[in-house]
Amino acid sequence: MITLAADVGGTFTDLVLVDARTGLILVDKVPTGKRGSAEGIVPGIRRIAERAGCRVSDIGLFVHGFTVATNAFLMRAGARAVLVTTEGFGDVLDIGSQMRPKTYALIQQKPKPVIPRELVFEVRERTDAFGGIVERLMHEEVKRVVAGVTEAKPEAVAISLVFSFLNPAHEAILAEALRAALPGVPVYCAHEVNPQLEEWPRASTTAMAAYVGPVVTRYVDQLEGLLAGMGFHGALQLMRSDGGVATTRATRENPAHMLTSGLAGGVTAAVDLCRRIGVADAITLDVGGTSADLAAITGGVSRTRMSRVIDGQPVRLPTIDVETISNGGGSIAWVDQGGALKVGPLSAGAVPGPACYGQGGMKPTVTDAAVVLGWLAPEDYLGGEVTISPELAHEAVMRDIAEPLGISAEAAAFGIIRVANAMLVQSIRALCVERGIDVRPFSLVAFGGAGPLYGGMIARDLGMREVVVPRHPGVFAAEGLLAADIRHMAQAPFRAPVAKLSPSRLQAVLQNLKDAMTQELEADGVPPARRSFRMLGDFRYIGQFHEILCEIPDKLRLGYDAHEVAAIFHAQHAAQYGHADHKAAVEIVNLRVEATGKLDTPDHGAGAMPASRLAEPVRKRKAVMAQDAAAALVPIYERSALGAGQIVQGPAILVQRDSTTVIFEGQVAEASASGVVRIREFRP
Amino acid sequence: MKIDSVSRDVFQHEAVSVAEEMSVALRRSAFSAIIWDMIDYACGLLDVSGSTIAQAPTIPAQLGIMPTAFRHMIRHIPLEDWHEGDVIICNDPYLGCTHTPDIVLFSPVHFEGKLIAITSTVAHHIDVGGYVPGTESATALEIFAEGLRIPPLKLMSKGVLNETFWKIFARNVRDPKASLGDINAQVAACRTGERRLKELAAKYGADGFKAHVAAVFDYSEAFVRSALRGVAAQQARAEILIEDEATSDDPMRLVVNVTVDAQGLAIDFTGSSAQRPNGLNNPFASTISMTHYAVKVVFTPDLPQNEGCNRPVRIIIPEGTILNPKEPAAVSVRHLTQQAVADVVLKALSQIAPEASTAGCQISFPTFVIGGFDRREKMLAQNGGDAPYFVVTDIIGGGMGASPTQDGISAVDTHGGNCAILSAEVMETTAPVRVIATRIIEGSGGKGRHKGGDAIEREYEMLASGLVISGYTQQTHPETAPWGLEGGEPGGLASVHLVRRNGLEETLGSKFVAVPLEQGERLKLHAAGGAGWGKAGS
Repeated sequence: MITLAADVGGTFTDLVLVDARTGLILVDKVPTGKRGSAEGIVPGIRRIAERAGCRVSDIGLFVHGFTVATNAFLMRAGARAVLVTTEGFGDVLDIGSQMRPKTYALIQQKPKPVIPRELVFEVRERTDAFGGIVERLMHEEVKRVVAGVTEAKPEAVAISLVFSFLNPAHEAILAEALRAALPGVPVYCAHEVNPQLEEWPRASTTAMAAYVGPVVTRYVDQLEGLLAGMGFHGALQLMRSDGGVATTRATRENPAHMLTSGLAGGVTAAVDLCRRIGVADAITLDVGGTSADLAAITGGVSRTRMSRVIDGQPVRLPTIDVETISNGGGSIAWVDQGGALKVGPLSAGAVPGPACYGQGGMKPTVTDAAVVLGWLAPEDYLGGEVTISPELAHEAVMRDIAEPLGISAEAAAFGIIRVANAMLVQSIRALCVERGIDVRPFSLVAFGGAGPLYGGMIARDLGMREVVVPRHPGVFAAEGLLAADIRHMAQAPFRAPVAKLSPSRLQAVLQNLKDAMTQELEADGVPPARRSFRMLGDFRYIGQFHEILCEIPDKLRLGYDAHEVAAIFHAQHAAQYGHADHKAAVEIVNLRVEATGKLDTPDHGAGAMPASRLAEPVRKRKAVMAQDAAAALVPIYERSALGAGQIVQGPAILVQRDSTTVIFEGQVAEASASGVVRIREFRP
Repeated sequence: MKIDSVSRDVFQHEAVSVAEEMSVALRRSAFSAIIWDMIDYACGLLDVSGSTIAQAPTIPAQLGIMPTAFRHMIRHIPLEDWHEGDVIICNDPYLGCTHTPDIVLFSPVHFEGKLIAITSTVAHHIDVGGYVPGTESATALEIFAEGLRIPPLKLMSKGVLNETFWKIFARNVRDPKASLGDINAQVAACRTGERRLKELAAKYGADGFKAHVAAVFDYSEAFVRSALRGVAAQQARAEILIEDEATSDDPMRLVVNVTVDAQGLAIDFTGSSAQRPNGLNNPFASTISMTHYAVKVVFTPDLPQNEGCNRPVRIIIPEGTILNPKEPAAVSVRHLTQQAVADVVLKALSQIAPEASTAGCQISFPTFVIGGFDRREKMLAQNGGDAPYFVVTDIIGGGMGASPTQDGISAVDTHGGNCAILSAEVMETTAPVRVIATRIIEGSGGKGRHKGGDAIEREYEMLASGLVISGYTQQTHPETAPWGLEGGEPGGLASVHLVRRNGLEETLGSKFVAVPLEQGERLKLHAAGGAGWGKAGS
């Protein structure tokens, strides 16, 4: 079968095509094009199919990671959605947590909720903390609210009532009435989207589903149409925020799971790569144009988090645990009023881009610094498809950094890299301390266009074991799409002390969730033999409010043992927080079921390296490879020419179409048979 | 040793990173919600003279209090007695700490046999004893009513725990498990800092480390001095009033004179009210920290905090005033006055740097604690007939002042704290208290060309009888309202009301202690709005 993956980024869309019959692997990059439209990938698909010598109709599976939902959310360009909530709570989205976004700023703004106050409707009703009805929802009230909502002409509706996760009756009545009055308008209920305690994050999550739902649906419709137009009649799958994939059917039903689709591919790819090369613990570093994404892989698995705050709005849906910082190749360097060199948070983005692109960008960026240092050169950059000008890079670095600081352009350029590097190191340290990780025995998987540029420097500063540079670092995230399985996740509120809960009720709730997930897999066409389920719970010490997601093994589900269940939680708590109180009472707050439909992962790594051949440098060029060093001739190797087992001693630069890898003095790089390059400190 | 500017900048990232790692380590292993959710703690690194090298940006109320405390510590325990593995503990407001619940720890960092730096953590503990749960009481007469006062002593000596102290402490606080757990979290953070500072020292060498610290201080000082250049005025005076209403109806006055000259910024609180026989006095360290906060948000909001930032700033606080009380004045509810310190300094700075200033913000943050037995029928049924004891607390946000360029933001906590509002569902799940409504009151911010931010009003219904409530607010009178600028109107007033079952509404004062409440009665909290900037319609 021929499988195609396309991962949309802010600047470029990355494509990977794998032909399982011949072992052919092709990668490509095309400009992403207009925001929110699927049209940008059409020429990319045509081109890669042409290069592969096949027709689009030969492609059996197309897996797609996209940023439409994220962008609609961040740009506040989503659907016209309304929120219906309990009387007295109409300001729930505007108040939020009441924390000001910046603790140390007088003049600032709060991030805008996705649904403005004038589109929030209050409804007279109330449920209590035990699920009992305090104030019944009256028929007249339903009519009044439906009339108001209808008049607002919404594209989507979110309903989130107080304590609806304990008793969904009123939400169900409202949903039915609204669906009848607004045919074709999706209605999202909080008790289905996020049945969980706390009115603000639940309302926010439901509002977000309504806000991005129509946008995602439109995009999927358009994409299906475009693909059909090209003769594609294989399966289309879409990357979810949690690293699984979804069929178009499941996507339309639950578009909120696509919110951070574009972030998941890289981590999924890294997990797959680590498995193949036998690495258990790694930090992933994906440096793109505007941002760097960081994630931890421990024991061979990435972490999932059940909530995150995006642009001030809490979203309680499973996502891969990735931290994003605004530090990428396009980040702008500047000198502050005290004479300190700063990098970011402003980025030159795709337009105008770094100064060296010659598209009107005047500010020096990290990319420009790499050009000044000779790490990036016109002859190699993106296979020569984008022309870059070392003169323009030099000029910008000189004017904005070197002159104000009274240093040479090379020292300024190296300074930019050092500061960007120091910021990434700082972020990785914070990420690791927070998760109880000692980073030193970890591998750094460096990818994205710019990750391999300074991965070696970061690993050195952090004392990490090695840097792993994947075969195609620039399109690595797209490879992750090929490694993903179909995923569904559902949750139900279940609050009970572990020591005193009813095992039969626990089993019943989990069984209900599992049945619902089985139906989903059935609808996706996943055969029973390929289905697997994990039972999970949000656990915490009674009286505390930070929960830990723990797996409930099948044997404990069927033969419940309170002591063993608590022990699982204590162990996790100790791992995450450094201590556990074995005498303290533990409770479950929510139950969850994760369903997976196993897909075949095309093996795109094996046999990739030509065996036993020693590549010579294709050329040498002048580059600055260390702080305060003068430019010297550095060997340049064509990455794809390296033979399995070949060792390249730093300083050296490996070039390839989609990325550039820098090996510093004192480091050695080994091209392994599996297709990756591993960089370590040289210890004679 | 000459340090090039890029090396200095890289070093500063590394130093701030150490403080941040300490901060994460502390929060991660803490037991209490006050650390988890309210981020009421601080972590920092000091050099051997007690100057702050870096501090993680957590709660402003604890910004830069470590040097003040450190200088007292070394008078009691000379530095030559600080050994590897030691941890020094103190919480005495009269020895450079803030109020008794804020426990301060220091640990020395040795490299190649020499003391090179100090790590420090401060954490707010939910209770350190005293005559009310939570230790804080506006009506405390003296510090002796404010729980256990810890003099500078070694919590750990060369890595060995002081068991005697540990036992005395555990016997004197209401929730020893949480408190001891949180102290352990503070120790863990100190240890994280020690380990990472040693790595830094190994990278730069002891002398190199010192030289980089000096370069960072010089840079920060240069930054602040450059920010002080070109201010609109060289001198400003401001005063504000805040309610006492704990022991007197006479309001308290805060006065500040600010001068900008070649030496920098001089901030003088002479003229402020004499100390009061209640818990509203603001200890010296807290006046210092909120002054630094005010200077920072106006001149250098994005600059990492260190000694260099403070060098151009001189602060004069006469002893015996509410801003530098003499022993044994009580100080436990100093947060109200502490907010006022930020407010009055910002009011003076608004004349000096008007572009970077806002009109007066709410500093009212109405707060209450309700406790009692949860006798809801369903709770009794769930709990086998026993009514569980509960304590629940909430804080309501108001409006920030408008600026020359935009409206003030609505519904936020301000200045010294940044606390979340309690979820209505969490409250009703854990206590017989139902939130009836949480609204942003339109128009509660002052009118102006740019409007002040609007305030929150929250209404609660009691679902059981025999409950007791205590709490406080301020900015409840026209003379204490948030102040407008350039013709902008003052922010709306804060208030606390009780609605009895017969529908009669009672106004509670700005300080209320142990008021009984019955089932069906309602409590209404209303925060102050931010003030406006410029004449409305201009």
